[in-house]
Amino acid sequence: MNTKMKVLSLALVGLCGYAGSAMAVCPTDPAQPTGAWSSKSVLGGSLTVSTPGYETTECKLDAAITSATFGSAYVRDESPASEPHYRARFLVDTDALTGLNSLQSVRLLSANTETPYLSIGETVRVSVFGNLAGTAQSLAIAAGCEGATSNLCSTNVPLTGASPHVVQIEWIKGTTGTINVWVDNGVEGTPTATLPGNTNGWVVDYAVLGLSTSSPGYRASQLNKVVSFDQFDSRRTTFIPSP
Amino acid sequence: MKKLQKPLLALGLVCGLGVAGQVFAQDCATPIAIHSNETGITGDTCAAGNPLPTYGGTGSPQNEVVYSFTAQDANATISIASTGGYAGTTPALFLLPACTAASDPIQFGAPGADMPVNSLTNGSTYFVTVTADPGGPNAGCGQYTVAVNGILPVALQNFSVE
Repeated sequence: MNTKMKVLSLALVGLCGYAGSAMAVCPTDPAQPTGAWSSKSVLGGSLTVSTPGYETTECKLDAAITSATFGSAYVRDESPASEPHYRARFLVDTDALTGLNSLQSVRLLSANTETPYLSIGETVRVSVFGNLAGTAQSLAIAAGCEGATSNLCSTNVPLTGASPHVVQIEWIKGTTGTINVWVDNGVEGTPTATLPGNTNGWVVDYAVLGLSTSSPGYRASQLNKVVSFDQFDSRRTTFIPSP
Repeated sequence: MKKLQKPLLALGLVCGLGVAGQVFAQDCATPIAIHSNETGITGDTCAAGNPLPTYGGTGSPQNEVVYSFTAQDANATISIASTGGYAGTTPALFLLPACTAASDPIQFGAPGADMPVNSLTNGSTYFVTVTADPGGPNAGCGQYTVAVNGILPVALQNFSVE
C-alpha cells in the first residue's frame, strides 16, 4: 500500500494554497495551528520561516542554536504511528556552518519510537559533522540495530557540492532489516548507503526535523549560524523523487 | 625507618610499560592504559574493531583502538603520526569523557596538530581513541605511533615513611 503520511514542505502546506504565487505568505510559525508541524521546540535555539525556499518553493525553515550551554530548534511530526517502514526526504542547507570539524556535530533529523528499545529511542537519525580540518562536512546516519556494536548500525556519507542537499532515508523493520540512504541521489535502485541489521525492536512513532543534540564543540563554534530546511516529505514505503 | 620508593608509579600502571605498543585489548571494556610521558606507542587500526560506531553525533565507522587513563592534574599533549596505511585519510586522536557511542569528544588531534589534554576532572577516567579522520573514507585505517608529552595522571616519584 502506497500510503503517503505527510508532506510538510513549507511551500506546499504552510502557504495554504498560495504556493507559487507572487502573493505567497509564509506562516509565521512552523507549528500548528498556523504551520503544518505538530509542535516545535526552541529551547536555546531559534526557528523562523523565511522566504524564498529552495527549488522554487516560497518558504523554508531556518534553525539555529543560540545557547552555548544547551539548545534545540526543531519541529516535530506526530503523523507516524508504530510504523514498520518509514521514509523521509528533506532538503538541508548547511553552508553557514563554516569550519565545522569533528568535535562539532548536530542532529538534523530523527525518526523515533515512543518505547525505546535497548535504551535507544532514535530509530534512525541523521547528523552533520565536519572532518578534522574543518574543511568538509559529512552526514552521520545511525540506527538501532540489535546485536551490532553499541546496538547501532552507522555510516558516514560526505556532503559534496553546494547546498541545499537532498537527503532521503528509508528504514525497514525486521530481524534482517535495512536502512537505505540517498544523498543528492535521485536513483531509487542505487542508494548512497545501505545498512543491514536487526531493527526489529524499533518502530517509528514521530519524527523530529531541525537542530538538536548539538555537541559542546558545535555550541562553542557554530552559535547562531542558520541551517535551513525545506520540502520535508515522509511516507511509509514509496520512494520520494527528488524535487 | 621504612623507605619505599616507587619510581615511575603512575596511576594505571597495572599492565604497563612492558607491553606499550602491543594491542592486546582495544575496546571499551578493556582499554589499554596510557601513561604520562609515554612514547613509542604503536598500533594498527586496520587490525582493530569499531567499538564506537559514533562519537555522539560524529559518525565513526572507522576502526579505533581505545586507551584510557585516570586524570590527575592532567596537563599534556598527545601526538600521532602515521607509519603506514591511512590511504586517502589521516590518523586521528579523540579524547572522550566516557567510552560510549553517545559521548561527544572533548578534543581531537592529528599529525602536526597535537591533542591538548588538560582541564580534566581529577579522578575521572578518560578515553583516548586512535582512529582515522571521521570525515574521510569509512574504511580508513592504518598504522600509527603515539606519544604523550606531559602528565596524564600524576606519577608518584618517591614515597617515604620515616
